[in-house]
Amino acid sequence: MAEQGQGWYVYCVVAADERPQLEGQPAVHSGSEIRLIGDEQLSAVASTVPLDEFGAEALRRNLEDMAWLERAARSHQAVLDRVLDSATAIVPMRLCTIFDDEEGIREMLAREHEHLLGSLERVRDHSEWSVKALADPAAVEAAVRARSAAAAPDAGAAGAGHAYVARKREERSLRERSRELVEAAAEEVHARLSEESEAHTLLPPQRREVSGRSGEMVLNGAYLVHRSRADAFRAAVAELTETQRGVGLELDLSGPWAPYNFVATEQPA
Amino acid sequence: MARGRGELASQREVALVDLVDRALNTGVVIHGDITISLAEVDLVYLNLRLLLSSVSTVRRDLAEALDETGGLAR
Repeated sequence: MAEQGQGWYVYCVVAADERPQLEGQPAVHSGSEIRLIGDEQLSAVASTVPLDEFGAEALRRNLEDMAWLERAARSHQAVLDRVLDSATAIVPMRLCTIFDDEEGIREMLAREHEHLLGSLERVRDHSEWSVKALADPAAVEAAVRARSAAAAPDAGAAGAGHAYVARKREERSLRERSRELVEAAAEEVHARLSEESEAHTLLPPQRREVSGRSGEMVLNGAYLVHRSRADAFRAAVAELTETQRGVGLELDLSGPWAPYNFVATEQPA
Repeated sequence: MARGRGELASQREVALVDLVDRALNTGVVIHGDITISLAEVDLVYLNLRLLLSSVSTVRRDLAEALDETGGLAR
């Protein structure tokens, strides 16, 4: 049974006194106009979508179509970016959050009133930055070897048997020490970036097949940074990139993102 | 739109992963009348993996995912 009619796709929520410039901005469904729907305090940034494409049943099918997903995700993101150009704070909605009608949106704004206002307050003038750390196994092992060579006792002082045992032990522990080195490095990066940010959260590292990267992802951090401190944050990432390269860790910075990871908690920070 | 699936495509898909990581973030608590369910989010990740990994890995992952969600068709 194909759904008919139209629904309202909500991209994000802003304070009612924000005036995002959305003229000409393509909606998630081409041809629809992006509008603000709301009450005295909150506005939802929304556009109409046909339910034969965005209804529950159609969505399930479309989510399997990576080209459809990519188109939807990119236009969702483009709208958020556009709103962020002029708004001081937004609460992004999850991709494909759809309401039956305008009344449904107003009900949601009323129901989530406190939470939305609190989140907007919390993220005002802040952006989210993503920093991933990827470990190159060969480079990490090389770093471990270099370190143990520097620290190793003079081999000539011990007998041949001792040297053999020591070498075996070293080989066995090479993997273990590589992991320790990488974990310590990732922790160091996260600790430093946490200092440079207002709030932080750790996301599950992306699996290699999904990340498309050759290295192993050992850190997938999200950091909430005040606009005035964005340059300092980027500088810190650049500095850490230099220092961590020596242990085989590569850092990957992206942003600014809408503050997806900092609008979920309902309790005060 | 019909671009080939070469190295360029994989570049784009990596960026798509980052986008999906956030746009489908499970932490956003507000629900619409229609909302993508967690099982469907898993499905999206599964399909992303499908794009990027070998058939054998995907078969294994598919079996795992079906185990985890108790089937996707709900």
